[in-house]
Amino acid sequence: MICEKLIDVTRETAVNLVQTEIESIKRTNVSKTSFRTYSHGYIGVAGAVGPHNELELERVAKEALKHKIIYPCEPSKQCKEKRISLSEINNEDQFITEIEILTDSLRSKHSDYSLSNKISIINRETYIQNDCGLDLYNRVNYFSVKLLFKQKGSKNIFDGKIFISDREFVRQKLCQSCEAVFSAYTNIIDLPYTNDYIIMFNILDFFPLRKLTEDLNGYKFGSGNSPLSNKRWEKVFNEDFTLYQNLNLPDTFEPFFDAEGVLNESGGFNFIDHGIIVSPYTDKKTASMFKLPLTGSAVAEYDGIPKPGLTQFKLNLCNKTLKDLLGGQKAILVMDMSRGGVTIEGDINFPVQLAMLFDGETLIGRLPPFNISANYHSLFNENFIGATRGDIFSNWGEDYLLMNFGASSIDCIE
Amino acid sequence: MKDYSFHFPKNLYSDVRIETISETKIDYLSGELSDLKQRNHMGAFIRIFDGKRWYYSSVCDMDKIQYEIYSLACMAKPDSSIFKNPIVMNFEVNSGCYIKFNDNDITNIAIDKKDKLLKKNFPLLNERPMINMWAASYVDRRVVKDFYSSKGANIVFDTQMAGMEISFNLVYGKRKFSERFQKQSSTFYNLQNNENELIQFIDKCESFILESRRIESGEYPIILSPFATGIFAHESFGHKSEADFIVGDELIKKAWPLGKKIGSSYLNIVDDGDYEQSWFVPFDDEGTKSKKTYLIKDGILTDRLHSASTAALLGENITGNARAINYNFEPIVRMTSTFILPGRCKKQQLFNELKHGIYIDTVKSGSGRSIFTLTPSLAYYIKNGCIAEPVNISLITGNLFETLDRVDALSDELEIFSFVNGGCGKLDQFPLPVKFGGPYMRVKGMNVQ
Repeated sequence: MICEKLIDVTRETAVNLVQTEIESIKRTNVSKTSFRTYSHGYIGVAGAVGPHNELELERVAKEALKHKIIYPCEPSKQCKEKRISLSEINNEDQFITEIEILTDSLRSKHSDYSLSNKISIINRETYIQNDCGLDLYNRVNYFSVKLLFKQKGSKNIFDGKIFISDREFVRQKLCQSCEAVFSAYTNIIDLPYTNDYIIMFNILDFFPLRKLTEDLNGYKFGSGNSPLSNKRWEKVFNEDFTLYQNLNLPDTFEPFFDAEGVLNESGGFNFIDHGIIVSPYTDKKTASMFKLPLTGSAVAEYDGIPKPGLTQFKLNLCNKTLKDLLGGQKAILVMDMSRGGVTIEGDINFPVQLAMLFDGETLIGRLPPFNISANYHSLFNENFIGATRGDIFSNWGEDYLLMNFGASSIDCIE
Repeated sequence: MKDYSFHFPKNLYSDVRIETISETKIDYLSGELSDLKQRNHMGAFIRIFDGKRWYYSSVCDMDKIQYEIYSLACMAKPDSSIFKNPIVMNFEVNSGCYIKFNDNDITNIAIDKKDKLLKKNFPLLNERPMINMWAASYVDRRVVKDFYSSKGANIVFDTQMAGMEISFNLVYGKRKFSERFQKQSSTFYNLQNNENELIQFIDKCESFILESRRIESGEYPIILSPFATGIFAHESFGHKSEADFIVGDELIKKAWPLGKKIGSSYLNIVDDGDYEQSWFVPFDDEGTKSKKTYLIKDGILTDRLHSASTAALLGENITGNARAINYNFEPIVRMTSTFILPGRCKKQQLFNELKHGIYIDTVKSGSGRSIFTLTPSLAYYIKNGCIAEPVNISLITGNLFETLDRVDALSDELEIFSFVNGGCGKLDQFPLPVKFGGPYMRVKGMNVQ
């Protein structure tokens, strides 16, 4: 019998804004422990939140073997690594003071807008150890901005989002980002009349890309339930489309190992490589069951069995800048969209709630909401232009996906 | 049940919410057990208010609660007139024991019985050649909440839910279609004997994948099933009723004054935490007794959903809608059980009066912003008053106020639903268990893609 422990400790200080003022300060320190036992091809798991009796947890995990949950894989072994990546994030008092200065400035300069929701400092430690010499430790800190903005008098619950994660909290940069958005939002413009539109999406927010990642789930793929099933090594997507996972900084703040202690070697794993489907993402059991590569993509709840999941994914960025890719054309930057739907035939529709016109360097103005109709299978083929990093919001580089849609695909809603 | 006693600091408002949670989750993937969890855990959320700011902390060690109260109090600025603060004056002072589920406590049901309940359905799934993959979950959860405040509140109450979800993927040639069957209740025993309903649901899905066709985009009269009506009410209007989006914005308050006509006179939308069935919410997470709140009555905007803070800031009545997803989070304004009240028509009358239209049976998701969206799953064309061929619709969109005004008939039956897995999301608090529902509802025109 092999025993394994996985511990995740997240400490967070979150400042909540209401009407661009600090409404509350929250401190949390959440520790989750997972104890696993492996024996004769089965796995038993027990978990605890907060303080617990270690021996009791081990006992419950061993007793859980009686449920006979199949796990015909070897636990990870003989791997020891420690990575600590701490940036100089302000201490709590300093952090709060910086936010007070920020909110005072924004309230006085932009009284027609309000900001709400959280800005947080997050410190996270994760480690996994077992009887087979596995000993991995990750510690990282970062700040997270998840702000919603609203123009006074708007009938919306909120008008748009400003979401940023980074290693360094620079008040001036955040202030400039907010001001860039407010300034463009105030300038209402019509959708330009053209035959083709270049539309830019933030990669993490793009609903069809999230759907694609669901279709790359190893179990769904291997069991024949994905539209991509049986298409390994086929060129299904655009030549420039590469989708990968990389659990190494700076690509992610997640631990450098997955929930089974598997590491991504340098560069990560390409699920789709220049349009060719290499492999879906897998955990050990799925990889073994369907004879697929092990991609180090296991996720698990603190008291759960590992299963395939993605904590992070990226698109390969082209060598061109945003301005070069646009080639002098203007683009529509989608800042907020709702989840849409895909039919059996592959028709996809998704509404864009907030979009701005972008000239390659600055945001020009706010466009009316519109709906995009397309074919799901064409999105990452004919419609795909490329992915690149853009510094639209005050040098906080974000990855954007650029796509081309004909005018008939775009339908203004109001 | 332990009775806690805390020393609350002077000249500050404080409250403590302790949650004791028992959960079971059993998951199968195509017949193989993939996970089995039984969780018992507890935690506390502590709040301090000094009249200007709130200070929050959460702990899993009950012995540390008092220390956290003192620690947060050090960050706050005491105010000798705190108990005259309008927000603090709004907090109710309730006391007593409101335990409802002792006799039907789901934690007393053996795990084997829960497993057996789920497994009864497996042969029904395995005998269907079109079902290529399926997953089945049993989930239950019992939460006992203790609430104490420096105003003297001292209550204990409980809520519980048990449910079963079966999701499946159908494959027919290149066509793939997925759906899920859910049943939930506040007690284990009400989940029995659902096999016939599952069989009928699978039959419906099989017909759908075989026969469904594309439909021309455009505006159509729509009839929503009670499930779809509930999703519509929750997503398009429910979130807009949460008063925190109005606080501090006089312009929007003037644009949304109580008393304004905003929908058809047929329309009545209610939020009621005290509604029986699963996820019964007798008190909110600020200790306020839940109330039945008419959001729209006869087409008139009648009330909003409030916490103590939003009610005080807007000068409106407190409604008992301050909820948190668990003990790591602060309560914010949320829905409880939100539904459209039934009308007077018989269900068939809604259909008989339509020469052509669309019937939406099930919905995958919805969202509500300036434009609301519904993502239909099982949908059918209506021809001369009858449900005809199944149709593939990727999205329904519309302007909320136009749509509310276009409601022209409601059936006389009310059905209430809740998700077994998942729930409502707001900001970083997801998933919150909520209930939703309504009657069959007909809308003169909605935009179909």
